[in-house]
Amino acid sequence: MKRVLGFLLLLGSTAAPSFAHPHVFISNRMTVQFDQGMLQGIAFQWTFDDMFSAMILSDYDPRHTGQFDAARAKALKAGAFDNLENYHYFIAISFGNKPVRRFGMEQFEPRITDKGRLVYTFFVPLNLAVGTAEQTVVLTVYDDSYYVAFDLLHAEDVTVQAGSGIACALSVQKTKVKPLWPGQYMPDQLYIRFKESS
Amino acid sequence: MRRFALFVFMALAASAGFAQEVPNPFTAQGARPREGFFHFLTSNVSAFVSNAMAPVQKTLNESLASITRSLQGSRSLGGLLFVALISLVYGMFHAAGPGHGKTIVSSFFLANEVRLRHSIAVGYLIAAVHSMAALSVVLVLYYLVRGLFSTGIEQANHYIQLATFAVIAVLGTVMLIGRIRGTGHHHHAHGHAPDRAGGVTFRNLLGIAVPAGMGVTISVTGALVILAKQGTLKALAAGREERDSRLRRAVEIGGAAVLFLFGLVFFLAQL
Repeated sequence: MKRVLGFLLLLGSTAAPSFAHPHVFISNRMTVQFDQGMLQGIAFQWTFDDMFSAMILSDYDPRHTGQFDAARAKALKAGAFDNLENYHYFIAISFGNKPVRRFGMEQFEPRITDKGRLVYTFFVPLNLAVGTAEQTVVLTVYDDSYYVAFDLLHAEDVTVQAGSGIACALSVQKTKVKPLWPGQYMPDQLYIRFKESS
Repeated sequence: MRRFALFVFMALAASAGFAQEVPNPFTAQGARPREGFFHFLTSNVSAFVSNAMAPVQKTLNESLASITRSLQGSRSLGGLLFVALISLVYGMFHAAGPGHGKTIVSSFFLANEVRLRHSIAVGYLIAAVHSMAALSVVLVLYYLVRGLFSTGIEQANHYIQLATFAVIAVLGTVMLIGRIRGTGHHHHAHGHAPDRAGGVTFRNLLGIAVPAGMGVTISVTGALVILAKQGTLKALAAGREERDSRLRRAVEIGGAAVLFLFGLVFFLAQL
């Protein structure tokens, strides 16, 4: 009986919830944009894998035109992007050690590469004033259900657009204490440290 | 130590049974992250395996797509064989991850007295069914469902999966009722129980292969489950024939119950 109970305990402790292996692979590129003394926000570019691209394009570009008109782009946004709001767009942001619970989503634009891969570009506004003291924004992009697998995050994949007068440093670190979202693994976090340059 | 190791293995092999089907967050309207009790029961082993395999799978994914694209219209045998090899490796990595219906196979093998050759047969059947499903059944159903419901490919897949999980739930129900009633295979409580695979027919195997083959899986897990099951029960019931018989019944009922729950959970999750 003890062994049976022990077996059941092991069975329960190793339960694997929502463990769908990745169905979608995304190459994520980001641009940190400063302007007029503010961290305006972060522009994202998601390039999807061939198979997911083909699946989406079969519905939204059935004639293989290689581009989206306004109507199709709107339909694509409604049918294959807007629902990500329920997943916080797989984006976790914190500013000054406080999570940013709500953020907007602007300038969504889909396109198709010459190799037939689907690309989403969009902008997350932050509107944070740049001061003399160093401030830090921590950004994580991942899906803790692992339905979507994002590329490992590297600082080289992030571009900074900052005029003169702003000092910005990027670094990537593993989540140390606990992930921003409860999940199955510790994702990479992008640290954006910025201040007025002297 | 060996008994403990066998228990751990069987627990890991069956752990995917608690996996909840995850909807496509891009296209499944209204889909939200799963929360609750199971969400916090994470498996470090599964997470490690998933994290380790994802980059490999992505690389294979891109390689497969690139090679397939480059071979369009080509009749190169070497190219086709290379694609087949990449596909094989990709499938192994893809199916080795959790959430691929391996529990269907494991549960069936737990619930029945089967032999290793059945595992091999199931493996080929699942591969064949999966290929046929991808090429014909799913496509036909996709256009049928899409035409009837004016829906996209993801929604069509949703209805197909719903039907598949319902089949699994029904199959598990039948098996569970049979086991509980004791109308399934029985072992003789004599010196050495004859290791016969009574009650396992080609139709049984096909009944497992069809729903399992609608996804991607491998039947090596089935073979391992057989070995683990036999070894576990033998180790536990050494010299105790009556306990051996009870343990076999318990494992068989447990396997059928997992199969039933597997199908039921997935079916309800899709509603």
